[in-house]
Amino acid sequence: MSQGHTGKENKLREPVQIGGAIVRLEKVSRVYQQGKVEVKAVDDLSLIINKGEFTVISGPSGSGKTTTLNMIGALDIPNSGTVELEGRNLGTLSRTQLSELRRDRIGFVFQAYNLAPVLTAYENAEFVLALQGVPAARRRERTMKVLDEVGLNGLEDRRPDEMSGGQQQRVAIARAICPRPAIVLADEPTANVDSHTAESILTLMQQLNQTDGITFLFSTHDPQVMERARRIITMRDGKVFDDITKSF
Amino acid sequence: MLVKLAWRSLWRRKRRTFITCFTVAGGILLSVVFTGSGDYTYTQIIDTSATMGLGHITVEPKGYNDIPTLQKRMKNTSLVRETALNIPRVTAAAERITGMAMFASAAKSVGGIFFAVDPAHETAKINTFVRAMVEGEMPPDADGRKIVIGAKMAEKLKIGLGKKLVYTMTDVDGEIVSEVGRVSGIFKTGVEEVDGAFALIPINRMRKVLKYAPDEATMVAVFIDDQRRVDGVGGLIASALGNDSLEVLNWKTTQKEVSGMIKVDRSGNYLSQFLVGLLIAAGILNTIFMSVLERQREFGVMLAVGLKPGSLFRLVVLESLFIAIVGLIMGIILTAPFFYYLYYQGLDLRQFADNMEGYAVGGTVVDPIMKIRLFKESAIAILIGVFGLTILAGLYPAWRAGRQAPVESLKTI
Amino acid sequence: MPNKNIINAARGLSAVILTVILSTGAMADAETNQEKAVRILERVDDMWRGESSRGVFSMEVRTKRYKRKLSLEAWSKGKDLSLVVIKAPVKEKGTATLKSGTSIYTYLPKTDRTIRLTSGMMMGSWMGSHFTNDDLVKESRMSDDYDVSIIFDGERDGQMVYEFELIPKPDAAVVWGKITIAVRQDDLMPIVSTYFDEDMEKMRTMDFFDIKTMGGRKFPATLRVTPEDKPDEYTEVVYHEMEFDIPIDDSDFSIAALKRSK
Ligand SMILES: Nc1ncnc2c1ncn2[C@@H]1O[C@H](COP(=O)(O)OP(=O)(O)OP(=O)(O)O)[C@@H](O)[C@H]1O
Ligand SMILES: [Mg+2]
Repeated sequence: MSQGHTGKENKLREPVQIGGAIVRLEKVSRVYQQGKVEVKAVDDLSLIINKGEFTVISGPSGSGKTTTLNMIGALDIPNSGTVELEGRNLGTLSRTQLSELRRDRIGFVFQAYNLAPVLTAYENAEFVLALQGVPAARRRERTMKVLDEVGLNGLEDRRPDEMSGGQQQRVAIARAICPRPAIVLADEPTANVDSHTAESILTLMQQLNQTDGITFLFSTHDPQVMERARRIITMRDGKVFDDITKSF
Repeated sequence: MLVKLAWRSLWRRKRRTFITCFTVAGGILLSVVFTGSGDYTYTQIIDTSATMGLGHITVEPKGYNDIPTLQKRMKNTSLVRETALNIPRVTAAAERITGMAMFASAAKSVGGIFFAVDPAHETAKINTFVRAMVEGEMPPDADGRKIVIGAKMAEKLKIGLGKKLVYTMTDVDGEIVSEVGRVSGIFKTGVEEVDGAFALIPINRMRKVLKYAPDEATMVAVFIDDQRRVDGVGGLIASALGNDSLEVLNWKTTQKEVSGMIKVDRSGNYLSQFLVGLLIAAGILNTIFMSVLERQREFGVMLAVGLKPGSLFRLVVLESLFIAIVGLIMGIILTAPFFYYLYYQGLDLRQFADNMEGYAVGGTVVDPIMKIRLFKESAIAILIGVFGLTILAGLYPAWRAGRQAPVESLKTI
Repeated sequence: MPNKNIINAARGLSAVILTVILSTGAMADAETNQEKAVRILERVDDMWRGESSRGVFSMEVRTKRYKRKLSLEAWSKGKDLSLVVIKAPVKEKGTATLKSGTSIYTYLPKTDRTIRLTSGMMMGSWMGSHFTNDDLVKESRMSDDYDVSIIFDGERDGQMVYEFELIPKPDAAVVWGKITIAVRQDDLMPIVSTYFDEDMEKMRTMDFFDIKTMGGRKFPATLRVTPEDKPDEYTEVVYHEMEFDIPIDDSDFSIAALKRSK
């Protein structure tokens, strides 16, 4: 987070080229009932993420980062407003369609315990491809290539409990990018690894962003992540507090 | 993929799964032993009961079974016998007259039941009393005065081989008639009520005494190779006879005590098996439910990356199916030695109870050696029970797993 | 034989007696031992035979468990018909037994029901006595069922007696192995008859005493049956009144008559 020009909410609501936007939130609110209290996790939020971005959503704990990411990832449904992914209004899709959308267009990397503990690195990585019904041979080719890219050569047969946290996150990244998603949503992917490991994971993701053109959207407090991000959206109380795009 | 996942997930908690599978195996053992001893014992009781006079299938005059009297009799009994013998599965058939009589010696008199038989047609296979003969032999012909009585009756009458007794009954005209018999054989089944009451008398002699025509009797007892086929074979005999004045009944009707006893015993047996099954199913449910709860996060991730809720449901059901399969294999291994022993050796129940030389169920002598046989349909029923209950036990956890929204699941650690 | 008249007197009651004695009286011709025996028995029998009879008697039954005494009245006609009605005690008054041919009916006044005895009840005790129902019905003639011979002819206990031996024919429906009967020579009164099984083991004894004249005939008024295996038990019948050849109708021996006898 450093210099760059501020993009205020109203500015972002201006029409953008359709081709450029991959994610579009419009006046999205998400209210949680905590006992008798209503918590506005996300409050009238409008936001556009363009193709190829490497963007971080930051902000204090409880500011609504994860909630925002979940709504973009079709895991959570807003109480009001619309979420569009690649021009499709998620509110109009059925449960099954949402499930398929996540499978085919979105990659997820979570903070921890990302993997199926009973599957090997290879099997975890190919999991989504298998769900898609990709034939075994093509699945294998693709998975081996991606595992190679994420630097897990030779560790294919390890189970998660036989790998370090960083290696596990690489497997999660491999699983996320194997199906060539439009966007990878990473919720605090570095929170559970040491800074050295974090560095290498981030480098990997940055490479994937640059070479394969995959859009990355992070939620994190981690300065290491923010350093590499081109755009940093800061949230506070469910609203965008600041939105900076660095210019290099 | 699901199969792999289900199978491996099952063995993440080896001990828990093993114990669960073991309870399934134990259930199978119980089920096989219970059902198998039932299949064996019931068949044995039915077969033995059949050899106590009435056969598996009885051809008799209409209405005889409701009110048996010596006046009700059928004609052409040897023809009926031939007809029955020509039906497939029929192994033997015998003309018989049965009724009540008083048996008296100089010392005493006792009431009893006689079977008038043709010694030429009676073999150990179809006649308990022939089988249980301990002294002497069957009468040499159907016309003579030789008779066979039970050891207890002989004891009560204070007579032995070669001694005479007088039997008295009512003939076709309702007249009281008596005839003298000489004991040619004594049987001992070990059941006092049987040994004290039954007698075999040559049928032609009895026909004369009762004023029956030479081809008349109260029944033709028919024996078949498999007691479960009585209905089918009985139908065939009935249509082959095509005689409205005759009735073709089977042991279920003619031996009401036996069939009632078997019914009661069998439903008790099924009920206890069902309860055991429920307990085991509850164990399986617990195991699977726990493993589902433990894997909420894992399921959340899988749902997030695009696994459909239905697939998750199937995954969990698959896990319980595997428990059933593994349990079944373990069950077979566990049961095999018991089965083998009980099949060939049998368990001598006499070691558990004194004074059990023979015991009777519904008046039928039962072998005190408990053995085991498993009918195909029982085996299938056990298989269906095992898989049915196991999968049933998996349904609720599976439904819970599939219903969970991914966000919620992701929250748990 | 002495008994024939008893039988005639109360046919049905003492079948035993009947059987033994009565049956003996059928034939008599030549002079083999057997023929002589039959002749004597028949002559005895003829002396007492009546067309019909009526009698009053009492029966005392004694077993280990109880002792009871009944007063009875009996009628008979021919060989096939007889009727016995209890007069006392009050509890059983009116209970009647009808014998018609080979059938026996019992009438119970308390419930107004008539029971026909089945074959299974034939060997049951008649009114708790040591007679069986079968004893009452047995009608076969002695000479049909037994080979008769005189085995003793001489003095015994100060009087001249005949002793007869009755051996059942092989096909006869008779449980005994042998019966012996002792008869006084002077008036042919029976003294005792003894029943044996096939092993010639004594099974039961019937003693006759108290010879009286009633209804113009002379016969033992008391007879007592004692089973050999229970020497403490016995049944004793005592005749108090006897009439012979009285007018009596066949219809008096019917189920309807049983009820009327109440
Ligand atoms: N399922 C829920 N039920 C109730 N309240 C919720 C739920 N999920 C989130 N919240 C609340 O919504 C608000 C926003 O939560 P969110 O997880 O989006 O915050 P965040 O910015 O990701 O925080 P952190 O940095 O701690 O991860 C918080 O106050 C949280 O307590
Ligand atoms: Mg968060």
